[in-house]
Amino acid sequence: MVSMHPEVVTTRLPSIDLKLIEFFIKKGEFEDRSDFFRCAIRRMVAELTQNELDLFSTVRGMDENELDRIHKEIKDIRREIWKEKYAEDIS
Amino acid sequence: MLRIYLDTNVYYISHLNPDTNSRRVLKKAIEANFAIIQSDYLYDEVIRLFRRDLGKDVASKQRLLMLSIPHIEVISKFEWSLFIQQYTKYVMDIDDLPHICSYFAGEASRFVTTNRRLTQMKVQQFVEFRTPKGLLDELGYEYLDTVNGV
Repeated sequence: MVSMHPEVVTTRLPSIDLKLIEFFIKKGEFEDRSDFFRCAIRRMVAELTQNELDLFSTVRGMDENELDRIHKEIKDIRREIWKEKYAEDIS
Repeated sequence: MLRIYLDTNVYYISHLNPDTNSRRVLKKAIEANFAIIQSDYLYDEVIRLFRRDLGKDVASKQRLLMLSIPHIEVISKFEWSLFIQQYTKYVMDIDDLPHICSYFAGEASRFVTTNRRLTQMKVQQFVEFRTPKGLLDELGYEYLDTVNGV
């Protein structure tokens, strides 16, 4: 997802990094340098956010009962949201 | 690039337990191995679920995580609602439809869910449902043996 009003940033990179980036662009992995940088930055943000989220996590075991509970909880919320925000417009 | 719709339960289970195939699927998405289709309806559901169960701070971080996946496409109500009439008769609960319709509107080719109820609906003839384990297996990634492939 690319912002409608992207801002331009300037950064200095070692030439070896630029050559490596160009290599992957030529291979077709990325459209251009901007595509590479956007992907790299988002990936880093996602990984850092996942690490942050894991600090809040208390691991729950996943057995049949827990799965049933999860699916029921999601179903209740799904029903609520449908009724509150969409049912009138769409049904 | 493969386009995949992840159901709410995949994001939730990924958070609750990192030793799951759901977390592995999300990790592959963060590593830009495939494109993820999301929708306004999905955001509503995930954020409400996280806020209710885990609190506001975790919910906002989860939203950031979903938005920062490298290749995402967000389907709006305007787009998914165009498919509602066509698929209504193939689902048991109408409130599941926005997810199914977002899959079509986003031209996804896999719908990943841990909920077997969804995969047993008549709509299965049009939707390529996979468990997180099933997706990893299909794409040649390592997977864990977990209850229902979650």
